[in-house]
Amino acid sequence: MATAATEGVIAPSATRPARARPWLTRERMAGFLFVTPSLIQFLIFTVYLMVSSLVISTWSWDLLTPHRQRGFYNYTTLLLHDPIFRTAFKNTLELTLLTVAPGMILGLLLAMVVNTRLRGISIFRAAYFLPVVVPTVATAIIFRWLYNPDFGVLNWFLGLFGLQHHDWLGSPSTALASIAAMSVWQSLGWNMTYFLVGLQSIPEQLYEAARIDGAGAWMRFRSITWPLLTPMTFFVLVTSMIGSLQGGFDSVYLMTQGGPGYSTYTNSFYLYSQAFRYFHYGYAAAYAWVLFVVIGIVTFLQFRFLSKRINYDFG
Amino acid sequence: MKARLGQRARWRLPAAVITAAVAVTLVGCTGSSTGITKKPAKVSGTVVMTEPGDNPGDIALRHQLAAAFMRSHPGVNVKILVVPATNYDQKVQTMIAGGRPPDIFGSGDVQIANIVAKNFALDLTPYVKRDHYSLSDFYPQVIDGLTYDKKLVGLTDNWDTQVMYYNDTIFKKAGVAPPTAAWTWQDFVAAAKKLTSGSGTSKTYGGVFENWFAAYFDQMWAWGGDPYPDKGTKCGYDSKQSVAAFNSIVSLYKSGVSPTPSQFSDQGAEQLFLSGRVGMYIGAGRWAAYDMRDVKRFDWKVAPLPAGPIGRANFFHLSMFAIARTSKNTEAAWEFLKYMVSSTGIKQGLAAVQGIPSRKSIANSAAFKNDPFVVRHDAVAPFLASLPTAHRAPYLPNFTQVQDGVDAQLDTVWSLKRSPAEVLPIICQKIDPLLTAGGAPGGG
Repeated sequence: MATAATEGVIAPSATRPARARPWLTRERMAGFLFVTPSLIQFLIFTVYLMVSSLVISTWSWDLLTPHRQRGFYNYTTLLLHDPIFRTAFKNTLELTLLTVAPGMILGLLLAMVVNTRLRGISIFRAAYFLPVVVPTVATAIIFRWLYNPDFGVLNWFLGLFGLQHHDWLGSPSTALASIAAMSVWQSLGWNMTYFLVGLQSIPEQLYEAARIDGAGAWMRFRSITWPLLTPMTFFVLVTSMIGSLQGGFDSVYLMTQGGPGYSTYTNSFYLYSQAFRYFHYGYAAAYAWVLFVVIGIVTFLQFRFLSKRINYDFG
Repeated sequence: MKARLGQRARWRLPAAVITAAVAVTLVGCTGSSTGITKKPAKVSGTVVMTEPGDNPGDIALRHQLAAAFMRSHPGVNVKILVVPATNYDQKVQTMIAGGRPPDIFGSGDVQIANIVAKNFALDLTPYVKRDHYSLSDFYPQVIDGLTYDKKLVGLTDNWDTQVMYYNDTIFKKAGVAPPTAAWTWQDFVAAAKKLTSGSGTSKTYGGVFENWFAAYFDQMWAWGGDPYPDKGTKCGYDSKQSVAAFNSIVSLYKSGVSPTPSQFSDQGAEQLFLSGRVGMYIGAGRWAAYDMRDVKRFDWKVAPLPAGPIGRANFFHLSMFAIARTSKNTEAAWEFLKYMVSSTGIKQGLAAVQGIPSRKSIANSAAFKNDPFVVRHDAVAPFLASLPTAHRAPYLPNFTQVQDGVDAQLDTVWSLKRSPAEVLPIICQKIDPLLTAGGAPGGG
């Protein structure tokens, strides 16, 4: 079969050489100009600082005296010879376990409760979201009093059942869990909002069809709600994990200062202590890079193994 | 080779002559061999001084002194920069490291070794010598405490030491004789037991012992121990004396004559004393007297700390004014510093001074000693009586990190979960590497 070219329609390139279209067109130029401010900001405040911190992580440096080049010494000390680092890492993993799953489950339950069309429901939604906008300092003061061994509401409640008073923040066995409970309470509003958005994006006709087919509440949740919430669940899981693996600095700093002992030392608190209390900037930078790599790996694994199970099909 | 050596030798004599001539010229210009310049006839420019933001009385006093100084030195502009008090020392160090140092910064006792090790304060010795500035009116303990590694790191307008506060109203009500300078630890415990009464939220405690390092150092010293012997190169927590000292504190908590740290941690030991539910309070210096000025519901007084088995020991608190080594205006800063610690400067702040004036002439003056507040609460004599037994702070360059390590281990002692005999040897295992140069993770 003859093509147009073979039938005598000559391509323009055959008669004169095509003028190369300039790479930097007006459109491209305009595009670059639009992104330039963000690009400069990204280069200075992200790329430059990250490269700087990588270089600093190989130094011994207190800001005030000249730095000394130490190669991988900070990394080997941190990973092999620093018991407080291991404790902080273990505590951070525990905190992650204690906050991510309960926070997500409670957030989902709350979202389902407030996902109704009752009059005044927005007041309840706002009320449940309130802990998010309350400053952590205020939240910490409230929780410190709740946990107070003598006058706290929690111990008063236990006393009603004849149970002994407990020093929640002063006991190594319960201090981390007490902080986790506060963190869950604080993050509940966010999780509820995300899940509520997810629930409200599920088409109502799917539930109607399921009801007509005789599906009960549990069946509707298992077959419609849960599969179609997976994008939001995945988002909440990834962001919660990233936040938790850094180790809730503000709540630890305000509630226990890492104590009793090292029972609530987390990654961010120990990193802060090394940098801003002991002025070991090289060591803290190495710590930050180790943390960055660990969080990167965890996030990568989540994408690698969980993203296949996400259902984006609402049809 | 020989020719080259000869050539070098020929240069040696003229080079030596030139070097000597330059040195003589420099010395002639500066008036000393320390490198500081000759005292200028008049100082000018801006002096920035940092001040911790937790003390309104002190901030007001700094402003008052700055205004008075500027009136007598029209060319100088003194700016008081109030810095949040939490981690104040770290913030000042960051300012210095960031290339925008304050000219004068406040710091004190446990930070002195760190300041010298990192060399960020000016050694004032050459200035003192150059100006023939007399230090004789200052308490010798003050100058000794501010000198480290043969460097005078700063000067101060006051000193302070740990004492005991007592609620005289509770003592009178219980018919118990009030504390005296002759009290021993046994006397303290016996009185605390007599004063303890009631239960629950209406309980009156005989005493409260605040479990921070100055208070337990006092106890260790009074029992013959030492937290960091051999100039801070050893750990002394595991000695028999130290264990006995900690046992004496823990027994107060166990017997219920003092609330436990977890019971007073939320409001603080001082606040608990201020609530009127505590007979005696150990854990503060004279700053607490300043906090208690407006207490009306009970009468309180001050007494020296009770003596331990080898006598009394009390932590010597020294806050100071230092000049940043990288200050751009050291001469004006030095003039303002001298003014703040001069008799005129100290007298201006006498009504609000939180410690004892650093100048003997003022501390012993009638104006200070006969102040109605001082007389009513006996707020000077116990401090002066405690001066001979004052212990200067341990001078460790990495004090913050060492003490964090100690306090992390002591938490289980304060919560009464483990005994001092179990925990104190562990402290030494943990902090021994930190007392060795380069032994701390991240440091060295």
